[in-house]
Amino acid sequence: MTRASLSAIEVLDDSADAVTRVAAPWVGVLWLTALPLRLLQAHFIARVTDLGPSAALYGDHLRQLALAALGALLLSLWGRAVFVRACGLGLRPEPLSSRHILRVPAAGLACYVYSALLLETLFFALGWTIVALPLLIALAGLAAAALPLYERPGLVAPLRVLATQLGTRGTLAALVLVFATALLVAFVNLYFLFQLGFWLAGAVPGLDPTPWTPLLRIGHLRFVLVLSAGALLAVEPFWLGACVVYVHKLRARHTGEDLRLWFERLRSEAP
Amino acid sequence: MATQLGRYLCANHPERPGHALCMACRKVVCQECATEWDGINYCVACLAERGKAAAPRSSLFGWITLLAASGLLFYASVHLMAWVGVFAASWR
Repeated sequence: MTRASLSAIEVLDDSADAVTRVAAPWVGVLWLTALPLRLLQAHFIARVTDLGPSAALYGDHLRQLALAALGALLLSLWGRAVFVRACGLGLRPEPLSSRHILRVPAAGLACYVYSALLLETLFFALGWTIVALPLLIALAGLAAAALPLYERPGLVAPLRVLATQLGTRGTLAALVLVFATALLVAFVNLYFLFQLGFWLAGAVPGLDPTPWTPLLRIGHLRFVLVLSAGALLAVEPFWLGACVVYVHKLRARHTGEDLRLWFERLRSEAP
Repeated sequence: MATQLGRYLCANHPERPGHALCMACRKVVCQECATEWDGINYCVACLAERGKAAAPRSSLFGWITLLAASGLLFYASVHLMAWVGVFAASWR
């Protein structure tokens, strides 16, 4: 008997259940901790664009903005760690305890911060190649999802854990593709949501939305950046949920736990 | 599964029928040699191996190197982000 390979559809189905189960309040925690990072990233890009070729003269200012954005990244990493823990515990049948979820193991969190900062550095160093982006995005999700597997602090152990998660590359590539499409869909939806709000605001007596017209158009950089930040926030819980389920399923296949559960189910269904 | 494995013999006790399959080394073992840990069957040797691996080892060196590397990466990321910004702006 051979086992079918891990399919992206199976991972997405299970992750939708897991995210729905932990949505309140853990998606809120994720959003609250990720919001400063996304807004600071958007602000950084906007400033760089405003400065244009003279940006080299404002190195200190850009470094301060980068410092603020990366400081916000640390907060966001904690939020992701909590969310991943909630999703992981959400896959079990036992009820969730908030105190237990918030108590992220220090070694696991430190290993995750180290892996995430390494990937962030690689992102800035290799992002321009475009080809490296999907791999770095997949690794960033897996680094968070592998949080329960980091057992002790070290420089090599977290990377080894991360490397073992690249087992079924086809499934991972499919997940990255699905979420890239989801990001685009979320962006378009948010754009139309803004336009709808803008159109409805026109019906309110005494409110003149005309001055907002040049700001809420797709050609306005800050508006596009805010929409991108919103789309990333909307998709992130589902992406992390899918990564958690993927890591969980991969581990279950590696240890044989999936066969045990399947066998138990067969036994319980037998007359 | 036990009835199917009963056709095989224990790897450690050839006179005993098989009871479970060790999920680490894939050997068939008898009831005495099999231990279920975290819902998975292991033989005595593999269980000892896993126990050793799972034992909490507080490594001060691990902590120091991890924190130092994270600090360096944070510093490098800040500078890289600013440089990438300057490069992208001048490239436009």
